[in-house]
Formats: sequence, C-alpha cells, structure tokens
Amino acid sequence: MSLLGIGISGITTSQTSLQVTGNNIANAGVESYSRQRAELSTRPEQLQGGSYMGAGNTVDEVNRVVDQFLTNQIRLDTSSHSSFDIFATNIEQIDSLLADDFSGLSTAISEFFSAIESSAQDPTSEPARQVVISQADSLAQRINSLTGRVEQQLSSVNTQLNSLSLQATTLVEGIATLNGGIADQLARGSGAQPNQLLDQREELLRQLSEIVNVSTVKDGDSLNVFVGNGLPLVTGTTSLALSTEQGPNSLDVVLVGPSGSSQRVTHLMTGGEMAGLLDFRDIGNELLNSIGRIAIGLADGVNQQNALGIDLDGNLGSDIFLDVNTGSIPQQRVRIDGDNSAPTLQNIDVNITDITQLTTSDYRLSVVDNDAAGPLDYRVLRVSDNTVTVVNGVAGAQSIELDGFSIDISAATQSNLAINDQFYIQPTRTGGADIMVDITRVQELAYAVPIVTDAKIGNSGTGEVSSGNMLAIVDDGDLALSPANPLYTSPGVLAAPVLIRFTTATDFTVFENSDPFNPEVLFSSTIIPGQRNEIFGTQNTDANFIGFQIEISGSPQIGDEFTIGFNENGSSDNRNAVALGGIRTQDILDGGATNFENSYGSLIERIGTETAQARVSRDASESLLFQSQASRDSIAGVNLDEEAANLIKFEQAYNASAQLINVARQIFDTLINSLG
Amino acid sequence: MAIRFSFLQGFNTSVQDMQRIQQQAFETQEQIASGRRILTPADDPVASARIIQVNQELSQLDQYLDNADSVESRLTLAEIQVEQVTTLLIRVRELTIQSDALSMTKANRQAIATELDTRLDELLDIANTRDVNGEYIFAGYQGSEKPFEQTAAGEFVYRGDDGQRLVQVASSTQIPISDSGKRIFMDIDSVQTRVEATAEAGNSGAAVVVASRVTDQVNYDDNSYPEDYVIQFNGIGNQYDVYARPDILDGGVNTPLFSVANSGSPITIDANATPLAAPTNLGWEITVAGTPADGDLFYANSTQKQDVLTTIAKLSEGMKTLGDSPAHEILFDQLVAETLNNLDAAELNMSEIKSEIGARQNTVDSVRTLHQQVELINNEVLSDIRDLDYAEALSRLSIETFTLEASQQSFVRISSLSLFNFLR
Repeated sequence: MSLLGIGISGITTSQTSLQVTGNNIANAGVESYSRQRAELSTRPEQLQGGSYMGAGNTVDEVNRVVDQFLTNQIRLDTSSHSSFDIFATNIEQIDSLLADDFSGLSTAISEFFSAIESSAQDPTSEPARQVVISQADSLAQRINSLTGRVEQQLSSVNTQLNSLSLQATTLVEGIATLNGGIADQLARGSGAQPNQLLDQREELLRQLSEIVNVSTVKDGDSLNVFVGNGLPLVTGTTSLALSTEQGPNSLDVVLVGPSGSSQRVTHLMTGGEMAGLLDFRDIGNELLNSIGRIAIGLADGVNQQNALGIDLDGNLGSDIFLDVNTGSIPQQRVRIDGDNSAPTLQNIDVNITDITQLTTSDYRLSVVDNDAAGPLDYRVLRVSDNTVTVVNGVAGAQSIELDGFSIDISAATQSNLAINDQFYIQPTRTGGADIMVDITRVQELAYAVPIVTDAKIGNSGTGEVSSGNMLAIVDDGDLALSPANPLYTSPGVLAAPVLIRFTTATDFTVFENSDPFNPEVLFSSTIIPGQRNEIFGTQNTDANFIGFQIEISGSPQIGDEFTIGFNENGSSDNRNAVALGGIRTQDILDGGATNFENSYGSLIERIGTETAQARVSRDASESLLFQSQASRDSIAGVNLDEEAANLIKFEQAYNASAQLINVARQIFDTLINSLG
Repeated sequence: MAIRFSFLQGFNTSVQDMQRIQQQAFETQEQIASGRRILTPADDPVASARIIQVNQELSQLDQYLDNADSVESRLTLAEIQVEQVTTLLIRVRELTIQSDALSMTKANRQAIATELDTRLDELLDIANTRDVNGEYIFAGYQGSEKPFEQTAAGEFVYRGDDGQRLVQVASSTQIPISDSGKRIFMDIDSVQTRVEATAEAGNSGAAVVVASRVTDQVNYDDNSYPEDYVIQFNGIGNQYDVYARPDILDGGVNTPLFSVANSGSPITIDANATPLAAPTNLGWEITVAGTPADGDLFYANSTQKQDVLTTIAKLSEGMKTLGDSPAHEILFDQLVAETLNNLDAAELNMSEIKSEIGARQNTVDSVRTLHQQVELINNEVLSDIRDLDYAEALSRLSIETFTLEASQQSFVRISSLSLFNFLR
C-alpha cells in the first residue's frame, strides 16, 4: 500500500469520525439518543519487499454506546416511579379534600349535633328545630358532595385507564413495526446497525413502561414484549391491543387478541401508571365504603333514636334521614355478575340490620353446593380479610345474616340461581350518595319520650320513680306482656297505663291498668330499698320486657303506687332530644368501639398515612430513576467537552493524513524532477 | 478513570435540584402564610387525626359551656320565682297570725280574707307562669297546658306531670333546669292526714266530685289511713258501691264494703255514718254532683300532703264562714294552728327547692370552670400540634432561599464552562 493510500485511508476515517462527532454534538440534547462511535481498525498489512507493511486504517462500523442492563434498569425504575407518581397525585387530592374545613365532614357532623343540643334546651322552639333540620340537610349534602368528589375522581381513573390502554396499544404497535424495520435495515446494510431505529425502539419501550411494567426477550433482531407473567404483547412484528371493558364489579383492562377475543388482564397490570391508578381505585372504593358507613350509621342511628320518641303532634317519631333500606337502595348494594346463568332474573336485596356490626369491606356471594343435598348453598367471602362464611340453603326465600346486614334472596330469585353464580355485595358503597333528609316539618322531630311516670301524691314512703327510657317500639296489637308483645304497641298510643303497687316495703305488683276497676296483674317482684331497682326486662328476650325501662329508688311503703302513662301533651319534654344529641359521643361503629367523628378522624389518618407513604415512595423511586438515568447517561450520554476534544483530535488526524498526501506528492515530485 | 458526565445529565441534575429546593421553599412559604405546620393530613397523619379529635372535644366543650350558660339563666329565673313564693308565704303567715288576734271579729277577718284571696290569685299566677315561648314552666312536660286549676269544690288540681327538663352540661352530667309544679306547690307535708277525691278521667257520665273531707280525724287515722277507696256507680242498683282498693287489685271478685243509694244530686257518700253496714266510721266523706253513668269510678285517696294553694284557700274560707261564737272560735283557732304548720311545711319545701337550685348552680359553676380549663389545655395542645414554629420556619426559609440562590449562581458558572469556548 502506498503512502498515498495510507494517507487517504486516514483522511476517510478521520472524516467519518468527525461526522460521528458532529452527529453526537447535534444530538447532545436528545434524551433518548445514545452517543455513537466510529469503530476504527487497522487495515491488514501487506508483504512488501520481505516486510509486512501497515496499510492504513478503515471504519468497521458506527456503533451506539449502550449498556443493555442499564436500559432495562431504567425501564423498571420508570414503571415503579410512574406508578407511585400517579398514585400520589391522585391520593393527594383526596387527602386535602377530607381534612378541609369546607369539604370535610367533621364540622358538618359537629354542627348537626350542636344544633340538636341547643334545640334540646328549648324543645318547643320551632326556630331551634328548624336549625336542626337545616343542619341535617347541610350534613347530608356535605356527605353527598364529598362522595361525589371521590366518585368523580374514580370515574376519571376509569377514563385514564381507557386512554392509557389506547396509548399502550399504539406503543406496542410501534414496537412491532420497528421490529420489522430493524430487521429490514440490518438485512439491507448487511449487518450495519440501524442505530436510530434501535434508539427509537428503546424509547417506545421506555414510554410503554411508564404505562405498565413489561419484560422483553430478544429473539434474533426482534424484541418480544411481555406483560405480567409472560403474556405476550409483541411477538416479532405482531402486536395485541389493550382495551377496557366494564366488568361486573369495575372497569377491567382487557387484552384483545387478533380474532377479537378479549381476556381480562387487570390483575396483570403491575407497575406503571395502570398499577398506580388501580391501587388508587382500591383506596377510593374503600374510602367510599368508609364514608358510606358513617352516612348509614348516622342516618340509621338518628332515625332509630327519633323513632323511640314522640313528636310535637303526639305521633311516634318518623325518619329524619331517608330510611337506609328504602326503595331501590337494597338492590343497588348488589352487583350481579354478567356471566351468571340468568343475570336478569337474579334480584337480591341487601338490607342493613345492625349499624354497629357493619364493616367497610366488600363481599362476594357465590352459589355453591356445600351439603350435596337439597337447595343450593351459599358462600360469602369478606374481601378485606378473605373470611368465608358458608350457609346451607333452605327451600324458598332465604336471608343470610352477617356483619350487620342481611342478604335477602327471594324464592323467585333462588329458583333462577345456578352453581358458580357470583354476586358482588357492597353494603356501604352507596351510603354516602344515598343519605338525604326525609323530614320536612319541624314538628316531626321527636323530642319527647312516649312514657311519663308519676309517683302518687299520697305515697307515704320515700320511693322515687325515674322518668324512664324507651327500649323498643313494636307494632303489635296484643296486650299480653311477653318479650314478643311489649306493652307499648300501636303507633302513638301506649296500649295501657301501667300501675305499680307495693304490697310490702319490698314486694310490688305490676298491673295493666286499662280497666281501673279490674286491673290485670302482669307480674310481681321485689326491690331492694335504698338502691336503684330496674323494674322491667332490658332485652327483648328478657322476662318482663315491656319496651321501656324505669327505676324505683328510695324506700317505698306498703300501699305506695307508681304509674306509667302515655306522655300526652308532652311538648316541653326534651328527654329524647338529649338522647339524640348524645348519639354524637356514643360509640356506635365498629361494634361499639368508635363514634362518628372519631371514625372520620381515623379515616383521615388512614388516607393521610397512605398519602405520606405515597409521597415517600414517589420521591424514593424518583431518585432511583434519576440514578439509573445518570448511570445510563454517563455511558450513553454525550459529553460536549469530550466531543470538542474529539473534534480537535480528529481534525489533527485529518491534517496529519493530509500532510501524508502532501509528503507523498513531494516525494513523487522530487523523483520526477530528478529525472528531468 | 473519571466518571463520564454527559451534557444532558449535567443540566438535568442541576435543574432537578433547583426544582426540589424551590418546592421546599414554596412549602415553607405556604406554612408561614397559613401559620400551620400541617398543610394536608399527609404531612403528619397521626397529628391530623389528633387535631380532628381535639377539635371535636373543643366543639363539644363549646356546646357544654353554651348549655351551662342557658342552665344558669334558667336557674336564676327559677330562683327568683321561688323567692317570690317565699315572700308571699311570709305575708300569708303574717295575715294568718293577724287574723287570730283576740280582738279579731268575723268582720275584721273578712277584710283580711280579701287580701288573702288576692295573695292566692297571685300565687296561682306564679304557679301558672309562662316563659317567653309561652310554655308553662311549672307544668312538667306538658308545657302547653295550664297546670293549676281550681275545681268546683274549691280545691286545686295539678294537671301537669312530674317531668323535669334536663340539660347536658358535661359528658356524664345532666342538670335539671326545671321543677314540676307538683314538686313545688303540691308535694307539701300536711299536719293532718287527708282524703282527696277525684273522678276517673275515663268516666262516661257527667258526675264530678264537688267535695271531699275527713269528717272524723280520729276515725280516719284509726280506721282508714293509709287505705285508698274506690267508688263505683252501679247503674243497675242505682247506687254507689264503695270498695277498698286492695280488693280491686287482688284479681279476685270485687266485694263492696258498703253501698249508698243514689238519692239525687248532689249526693254525699259518708263513710263515717253509723247506719252503714260494717265497717263503719271510716272518717271521710265525699260529695258527688251530676249524673253518673253505669260503671263510673271515683277515688277517695288518702294522703298526708296538702298543696299550698289549698292551705291558703281553706284559711280564707274559714275566715269568711266561721263566725264569732265560741265554738267557731275554737274551730278557727284549730284552723290557724293547722295553717301555720302547713305554711311551715311549705316554707321548708321552698327552702329545700332553693337549696337544690343553689346546688345545681354550684355544679354548673364548677363544671364550667373545669370546661374552661380543659378548653384552654386543648387549645394549647391544638396549637402545639398544628401551629407553626415561626422562628424555625423563617430560618429554614432563609437557608432554602440561600441554597437556591447558590445553586442558581453555581449552575450559571459551571454551565458556561465548555471546551468549545476555547476553540477559536
């Protein structure tokens, strides 16, 4: 090889190197760009006059400087960061909503009860009663709007899930197309790397990993992309589409195959924004359940207490808030799986029976055959802790009672059930949306207690009778005193006045005194003088249960009489109003462990903790992502100083090679001239 | 080998750092502007729940204090009324003693009786006091019904009940803010045992009790008290059957003690009359006027109580009816002695009620003091967990702004360093 040839090879390679350097400088600001390097090598030496002489150099290929490990690491970190980021962004909105004085519930709850307590001081004052109804209304509206805001955010989650699956579909299509393009380019360039396409494919994968965590497997020149435990999204040049579909319980992410068949893959969406949104959706639903439970508890608790009283018109108290089991509400608590044997004929009601026992969990009811005999059986799963209750079916209508609600299955529905039918039960989910004020007239607030007690003025002893409190009101026309037939019966009337007469200082007899000439003996018992003695049974199942309770204290004498009558004209009576106000501090929820405000407080604490955790995770994952980005950049990124040095280096090499050509020309000239 | 540092990485790192410091400074600024250490529950979830709890306690305390204020004003009002009654009773006592002076004649007593009647009306007015809402305050729960009325027989009846209105002033303390008319005016010990007759509210006939009295105190105390009697009008026999109450209540056959033929209206059922079959000499009688229906019931109940209104009315009646004869003078002396004793009992009752009211006021005061202290402590706790330490926050802000400025300046300096600057 001649000196000229060597010079030319040097010039060519320097030029190529300069070009690559130039490209690097030009792309220094492009995130996804991997810096390139012209790989040079010496040309094979040639035997020349007994020696092997070097023959200059050549450009083998122009390569990207990449580290596949770091690229994968960035993808993983991107997935986890996107997931935490979108979760944190969503939950932060709820977090500030809950504790806000204007949107939160704490002020509304306390204002409602304060209104009752103020009104209790002046039970006949209609303006004070009006304030109670207004505060009840504003409390209900506050719960409605808080629930509305959470529901709105959950529905935006669904919209986002949908648009994310569309985006993901576009991305996987792009990756499949690039797989094809890269193979083509490789073939055309006989093995030369299509660097830009490779960068582009990596960038699409990175974008895809923002949406969902994916894994890749290299198959020749193609990159196959998998989601979850190996469910393929891209195989070679074919890709599947992601979409969303309304499932029985919530919106599901589905994978649409080439034939159009779809497969639910919601549970496979780990990492990425999808996972973050799904996590948030769980929290949001739990939040709705918790708010719903507070709403149901408040409505039912207040209604129950009001029902134990009588209003200004002398009638039994009616509902202050809408009855929690009214209208279509019991049906709305159940979602029927569309895959069931006869979904349109399977109406099931869920009625709230005991607010103290309610949980915030969802439940799943499955139809099973447990005892291999007779009617179908039921299996109820409490989702929060996977507790299973199995109930053997009976013929006809069936009621399954648990956790403060009853699942009521009519005989008609039961005949349309088949094994493996599924129902999703959400006892408290709609509570926050359902609560509303039912009372319209201020007179209907039942501030008085239906009974009034009296110690006969002629009593010679010191016995005193308490004013009494109501335990239950049962509609039953029968007067016989038994647990099933309390004396307080049809609405608005005490069935009969009750007379208690002491036959000795300790023995007394209780009479039903509707016919004063022939009082009917109900029962006899004794008291301990000087103590507070409960006269009747306290539980519905106790002996001598009469629907109310009174206490006699002091020392009555023989012949002393006490009477219990209906509280007629009891407009100044505030006993039930005080009891209504007392609901505020009463531990009603969680089996009698917490009151409404504290329950709301722990809800705030729970969401606050989740949010704080989400913030920490987001920051941590961000710095992890940033570190792997930095590691990747330190290898694949462009350093302008390095490129400037390269520019000088290759320019000098070019100059030197040019000088070689010059020298070759001068040698040649010298030779020619010496001949001349 | 030195670590390669890419162009983009340099920018990104610096920008991100600056953003982070900027965000911190912004948050600090927000804290300073709001004065709150905790901006959202996530800043300190445990403290946030505690804040809710303390706020709940504070609002409850507010309500209790509010209740205590209203209890206080009502108790003061009640106290004034009891005071008024007491003053009135003292005047009645003066009049009573005055009327018994030796120089007093029936004519003089009549004049005193006129004042006595005015006082009685005044007392009845007090007993039927209404508050600003038009509620009768001494009617128990039946505030919309006039509680005290005088019957045809001149006796006073109480139509209210025992109801007492309670107000919650602490989580476990309810304070009564009213006393029933029965407690104040009716439930007063009397020197003599008495019989009080009433007609059953469910009677279908029109007959009413117009008088009931003990005709022979010795017989009454020996043979009747504390027995109660039930009188049923038997339409078939056109007679009044008198039963002992235990006989009615024993569940067996009701056998009358004796019967009195319904010889016209009004009719006096004399349980002390000798012609009656045994037992006789029960010492009481009642007078019923009007037409009874078959099965109508009347009660002759024993009592050792006499309402203060009746006490005064009886005295006034005595002044007006008893003459100047020695026999009447003796009766009048007895009446005065009895009245004075009953007035004693009434005054004692008033002072008992006054001390009860005083005790309630004391309770309210101590409960209020306690609430105010707890409120103070709670406010401190709230401030501790929620409020910002300004000194700390301001020094934090100055560090943050200083760091931000430094990183901005250094970024400009570092980023202007490039080899290209020297390629000329």
